[in-house]
Amino acid sequence: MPENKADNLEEKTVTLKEAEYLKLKEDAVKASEYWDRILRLQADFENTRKRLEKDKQDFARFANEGIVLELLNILDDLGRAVDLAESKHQDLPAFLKGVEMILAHLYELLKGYGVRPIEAKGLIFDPNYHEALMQVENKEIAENTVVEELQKGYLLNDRVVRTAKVKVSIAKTQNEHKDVK
Amino acid sequence: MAKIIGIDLGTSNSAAAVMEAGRPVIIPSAEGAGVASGKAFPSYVAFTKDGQRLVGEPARRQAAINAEGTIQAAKRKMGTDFKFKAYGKEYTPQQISAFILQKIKADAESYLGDKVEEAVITCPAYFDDNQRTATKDAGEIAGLKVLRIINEPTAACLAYGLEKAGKELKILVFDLGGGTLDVTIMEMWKEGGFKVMATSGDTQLGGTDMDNVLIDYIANQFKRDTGIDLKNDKMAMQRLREAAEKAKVELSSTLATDINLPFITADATGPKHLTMPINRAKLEELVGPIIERCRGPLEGALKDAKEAFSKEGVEFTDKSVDRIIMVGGPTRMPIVQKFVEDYFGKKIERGVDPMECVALGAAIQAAIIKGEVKDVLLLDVTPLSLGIETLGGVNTKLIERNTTIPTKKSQVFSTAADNQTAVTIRVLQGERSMADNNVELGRFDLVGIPAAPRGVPQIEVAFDIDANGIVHVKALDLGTGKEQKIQISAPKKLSKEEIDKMVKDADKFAAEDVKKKEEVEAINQADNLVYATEKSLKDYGDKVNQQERADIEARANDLKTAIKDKNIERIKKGMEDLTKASHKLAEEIYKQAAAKQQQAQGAAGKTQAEEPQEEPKKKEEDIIDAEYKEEDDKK
Repeated sequence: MPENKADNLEEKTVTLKEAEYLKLKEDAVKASEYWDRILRLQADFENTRKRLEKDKQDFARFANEGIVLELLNILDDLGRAVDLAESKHQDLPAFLKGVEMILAHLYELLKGYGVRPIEAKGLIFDPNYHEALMQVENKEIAENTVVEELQKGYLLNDRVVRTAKVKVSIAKTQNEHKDVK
Repeated sequence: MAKIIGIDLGTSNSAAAVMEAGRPVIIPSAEGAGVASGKAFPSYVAFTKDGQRLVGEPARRQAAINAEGTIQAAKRKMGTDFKFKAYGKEYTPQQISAFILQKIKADAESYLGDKVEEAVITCPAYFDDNQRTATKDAGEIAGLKVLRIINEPTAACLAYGLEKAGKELKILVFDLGGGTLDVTIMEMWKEGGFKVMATSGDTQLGGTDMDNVLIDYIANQFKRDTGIDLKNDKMAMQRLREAAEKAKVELSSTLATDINLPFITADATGPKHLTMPINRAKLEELVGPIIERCRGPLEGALKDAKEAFSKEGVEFTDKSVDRIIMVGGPTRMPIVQKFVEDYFGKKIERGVDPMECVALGAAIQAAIIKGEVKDVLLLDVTPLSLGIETLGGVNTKLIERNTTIPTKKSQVFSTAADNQTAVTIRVLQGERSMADNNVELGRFDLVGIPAAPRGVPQIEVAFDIDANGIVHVKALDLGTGKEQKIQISAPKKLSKEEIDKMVKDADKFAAEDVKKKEEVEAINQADNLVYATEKSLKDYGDKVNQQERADIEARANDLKTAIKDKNIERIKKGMEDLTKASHKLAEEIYKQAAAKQQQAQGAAGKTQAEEPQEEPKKKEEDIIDAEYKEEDDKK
């Protein structure tokens, strides 16, 4: 029988074999060790989560650096076009050619970042890629064909970033001409 | 364990959330962000002529050409006998809602990579039993076991953590969505249960109305200026709608913005551009009448609440409202917040996205039911950073504020002077960069460090905050194994106000503090330079001529005086001069070293010589470039 009594057991006295007592004592120490370890792991997890969130924010702040750098060239080119237009240069075809080159450059840049235009005109309307703004009667072509693109749509790495806003054909005027509010 | 999701089944938009590692997160819709901002998707269901079923964004996109087969706002019909008709087939409101819930279930399963079978769904506080049963049925049709239907305002309160307040609260929930306004007054018991006391609202009032007045205004201005009516031009109107929505959002955080739509249209005279500055005041003037329409429902709810409370023998007035919770995208607008705050003379609760809070709260409710919340260990965070004072009176933080405890962090420091045998550890609490602007929690000395040149001894300082918030600080001389520690049992129990003040002060004095810290750093750097130069002179001084040596010494002395005077301009200049003057010395040292090396490598072979030289400093990099200030330095 161990001589030191457990502190908080007031009334009931339990008799234990020394081995049992030692085992219990060891278990209690272990338990508090484990508990501390769990708390620390949990806290570590929380802190890691916070750090990841911060990293993500930092990353987002500078992730656009590449595209920004390339956009600066386009900005310069557009500036040059404006300067030239202000000087009232008369060679309009050459000016147009320059602006077209800038446009092509911007288009190539976006392509490099995985941006692709959504095909629409002449295709059957597909709500996964197209957004219908209005419909027009047209008996010549199949119903639900996109007859006009009002705003081009784009995909970013196969995900829609902007739908193509389109005008869609309808065969007969059974329904009234319907517009979005 | 399978997750339970929380679902905000809304009239115009729906969203879902799930508990992840103790906090609710919104489950993104599979199509990515749609037109409806945030991660919600429009509550649209459509059937096409060829029998396809569309839900969410795709359904909305084809609404204009398929009015017959497109259904929206099915929630308004929940609990009625109404039947939606599409291509000869009939659907109950429950069935339509079930299609939306099915999409949510599928999105959640693909997000979580696991089956989802149970859910908590929210509904407006005014829903009657019929409507609630219909909502539950919709869940069951979708293959979800609905564990509970909870009120949207209750979910919003949970998202703000109000149930943990531990006291009775009277809460106003102001929910202004895309197309509806719901005002709810609730009572929360001490234990965290909620009771709805009164509800009121307007089913035809919301953010869409605000967009429309702005669009009308811009289009009318343009017509006045150019004579062209954009309303007949679908494409121009589409561009205008997008630009107006963007401007509205921007004006919540800035006071002025521009609408810029080049080549919006053209007439015989040439291309026309729409450019219009618009400021917050103008927007507020335009939406003012719409916001004013919120007053009626607000007053109605308060009046009803007064009656309901009086039945319980409780007196209730406008001043009785303890907390105000805002729900819905339009409540992000400062004018909407101001309207409510002015009405009650009380600030609204902040910190949770008003578009997400209902779904987030539903997810919290789900976790409470599942017992997850109880099992989650609620760990504290350190409200303020903990650090020690280093050379020049700088506060070097070891544990940043908002770190979850228990946590441990250690760093190796060194001495600031040659033959320094003791260091003083001042334990600091606070955000300011200079030590003296923070609270000192305690200090102790570590003595018996063997005499060595400065920067050589390695002293590891470890901070350990245990689960009870007790801070243990230990300093260990890695050379001798000598250690000293203290325990700070009650790290200054500061009130929330005091903590806020300290954090705010850090922001307020940030520029000043940075400047001071830079000064100290310049002094430290200069001091190091003088020390290194003098050491080199002692070791290699005979390698340069008398004149050069004298020059270096003079420069070093100049710099020393500048350091003493703490004159930053002169210190910077002095460092430049001294560096320049010592170049000759450095050259000589390296010449000799190279000669020695070549001799040594003559035998070792060529390859090694071509390899880049190992940085001799490598070892020291582990030592943070901040050193203890000697106690004596202070005097």
